[in-house]
Amino acid sequence: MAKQKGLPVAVVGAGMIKFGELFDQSYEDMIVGAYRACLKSVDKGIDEKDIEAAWLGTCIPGTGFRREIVTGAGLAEPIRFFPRPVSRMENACCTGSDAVRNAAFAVAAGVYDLVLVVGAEKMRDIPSRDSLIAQTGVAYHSWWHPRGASAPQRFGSLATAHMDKFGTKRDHLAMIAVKNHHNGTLDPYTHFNFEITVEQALNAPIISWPLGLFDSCPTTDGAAAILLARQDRAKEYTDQPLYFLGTGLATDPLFLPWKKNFIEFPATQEAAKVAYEMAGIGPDDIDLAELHDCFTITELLTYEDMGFCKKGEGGKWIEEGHPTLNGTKPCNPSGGLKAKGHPIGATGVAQICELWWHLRGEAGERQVKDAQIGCTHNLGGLGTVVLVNIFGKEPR
Amino acid sequence: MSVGIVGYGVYIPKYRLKREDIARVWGGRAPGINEKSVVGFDEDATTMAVAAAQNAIAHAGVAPSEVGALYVGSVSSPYISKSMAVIIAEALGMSQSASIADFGGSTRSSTIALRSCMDFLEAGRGKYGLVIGTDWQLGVPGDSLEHSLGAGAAACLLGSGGKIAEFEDSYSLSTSFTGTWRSDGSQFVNRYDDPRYERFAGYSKIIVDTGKGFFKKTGKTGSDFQYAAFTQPDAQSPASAAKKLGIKSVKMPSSIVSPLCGDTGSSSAFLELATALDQAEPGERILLASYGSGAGSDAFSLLVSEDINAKRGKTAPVQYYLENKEYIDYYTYQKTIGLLKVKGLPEPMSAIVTQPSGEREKDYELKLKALECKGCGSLNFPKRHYCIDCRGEEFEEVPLPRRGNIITFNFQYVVAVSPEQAPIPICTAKMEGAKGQYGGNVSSMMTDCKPEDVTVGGKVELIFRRCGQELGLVRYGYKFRPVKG
Repeated sequence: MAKQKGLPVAVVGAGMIKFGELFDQSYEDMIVGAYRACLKSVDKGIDEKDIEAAWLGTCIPGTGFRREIVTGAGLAEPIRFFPRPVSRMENACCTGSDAVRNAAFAVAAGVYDLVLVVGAEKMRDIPSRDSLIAQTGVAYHSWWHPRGASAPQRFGSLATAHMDKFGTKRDHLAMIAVKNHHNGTLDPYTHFNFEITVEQALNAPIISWPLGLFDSCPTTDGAAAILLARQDRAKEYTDQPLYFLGTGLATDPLFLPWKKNFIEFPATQEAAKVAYEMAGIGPDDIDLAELHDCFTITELLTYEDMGFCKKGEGGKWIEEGHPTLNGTKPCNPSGGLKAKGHPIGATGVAQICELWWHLRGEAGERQVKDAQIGCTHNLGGLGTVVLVNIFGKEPR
Repeated sequence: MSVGIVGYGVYIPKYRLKREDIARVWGGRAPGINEKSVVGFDEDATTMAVAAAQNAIAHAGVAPSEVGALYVGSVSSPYISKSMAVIIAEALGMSQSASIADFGGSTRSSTIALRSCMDFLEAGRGKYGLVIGTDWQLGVPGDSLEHSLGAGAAACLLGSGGKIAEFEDSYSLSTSFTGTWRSDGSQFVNRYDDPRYERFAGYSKIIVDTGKGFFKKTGKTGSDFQYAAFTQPDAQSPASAAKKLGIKSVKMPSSIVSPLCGDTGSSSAFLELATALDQAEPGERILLASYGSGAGSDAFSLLVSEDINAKRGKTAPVQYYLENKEYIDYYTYQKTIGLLKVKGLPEPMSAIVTQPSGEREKDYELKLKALECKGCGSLNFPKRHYCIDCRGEEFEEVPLPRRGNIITFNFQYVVAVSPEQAPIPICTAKMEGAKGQYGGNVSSMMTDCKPEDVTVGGKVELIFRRCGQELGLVRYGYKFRPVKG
């Protein structure tokens, strides 16, 4: 239960680099790119020396880009930040948004007035087949895991069960991919910027039945950064800050057979409930949502678990067009993980960049009309950790 | 336009293995070779070539960007398919548009590279060209080739201005006569075990025939030459070949490098040439001749020019590398070159069970024990301290039910394991008689079934099977199989 009503914290700057297969950029190059874009976004300018502390979100230390240990120096070194404090956060796919959450807590606690959060991940220095797809033991017990089980296997289990229980079709999943690819063509920061059709998605190679190629997010490099300030000092940096209205983090078992069932993410339900309560709002008050569509089935379940529609009606909800750009509740206007890519540590921070542009009316062709409140949602493991952050144009 | 050498450089790794250290283990010897050079654990034909080339470029006083060609001769490139020469060119800072090529096939490759580089310059395609011979070869442990095969590299920078020695003429003789060879997939050089026939028809005959052919073509004789710089398969045959050609080699013996470094393959003739140039005076002549088993020989005459004295001291002489050495014993040698292997470690991505955890989990993994909660009856598998459903702390140990019904499944088309064939079915089943909402489920790979046999609600049973192998250790576990009827 949320004990706090909103957080006295505001976003005063947000910037990211274009995601993609960034073969010509190092981890450090990406961090510097995102940091500079973030500084540039501060309307009234900023003295870099005023940044008191920073948080770095990076998820995969060894296997992703062959570093043994990632420390705060991963950020302090490239932007010449030392000796100031940098904490490094890792919490599966919630890594970026949890870095934001913990940075906000430090500001809310009155320890700092202005802090930086950077999320960055180098995924494509190794072949994509050697990265997440090869991590076969992730959501299983140390020894008890089915041979060949990978991330698509775990999420595919949910798709099969949801289809069996509610009659959801692969077509529904395809519609989500088509929507996110379309949105991605309007976003200059995405990995993919091409349209696809439902037929293409249905006929694409199968990765883990019933999930195919277009049901899966790509392997992507990227970085994003935001600046958080004490709410009562936000106007020193901009007249249009984003206010941090609510945050919720929840957990659920990691070991796949220990899941309660395969048709819902209890941790999403819990994280959303806590975040809504802190923000003093309900799901109807959300104008746009950046959701964790690592696989299309994840986005479909999230419609239901965030309370945007009833349990079991996610398929119908996408079929009726509610989450499209012109629908009743646009989801993933950025193109989501599907089109934008999913550099794990960067994802949660980049989602806030998207809210920054929409709530300030700077999102161009994909602008969600009159957006007042937006949320970000990240889901790690198999709904094992879920984090929901809510931001608004006005403070609570 | 006549082409000559405007700079040269050599490199010999510092490690040496003495003849008696090999002999202590295996006996045997190679004629005239007292010790041989050995690469360090982080050296190979590429790194030696770069070191020699850097010396040659410094000696010539030329910018790497002015060098229009790089031709490398070697029989020990780390790659069969991938250019070693291009790595060397990038390390030297040469232009991407330079003519760069790898020459191989025999230890004669370095002089074929030399002939090609002369053609390149004579055709006016560039101002400077660089030729390198570089090699480290392995003999089978205990074979005389293990005594003789050493390591080294030598580079010649060719051009037409500022020459220290000028090429006058050349002659080539090709023959497939074979004394030694290394076949695809083998790390060792093999040989015919008949030294007397080798002397009759091999190196000694072919290099002498080449010299004679050269004399016939050019009208020169052995007495025109003060130095013989020949490939050195051992440290005795080159002297007898020089004698047969009437070269008195008054100023130095015919084998300087090989008694102390062994047969350095494609770099051997160049290393002897560098030794001659280290001391030659203007007006003197050198006969350079290579040899490659199964290939033949190339001979060149070089006339030393006035500029040699002005450049003296600007490249490290061969003597420097001969003196800078450190002896290693036979076991260190075997470990350095990879014959004594360090035990492999599991891949970091591997799902291999660690030794302690395998032992800890054996009751559950192999014996399929499970824990039934005394509070709510939920079946907890594998071991837990707090019940997955009610958080109770008291359990009764029970056998895991072997049969269950599928609650969800999928088919893996992209898999990181073998020898399993995609699509691999994987299912989660609620086990028969097992209580609990969170508890009572097992997930595993399915076997002995087709995709159409798999449905939600379908009956399955756990059976004992192989679940992969790593580091030669078979992992056993359980998989689901559909229950018929």
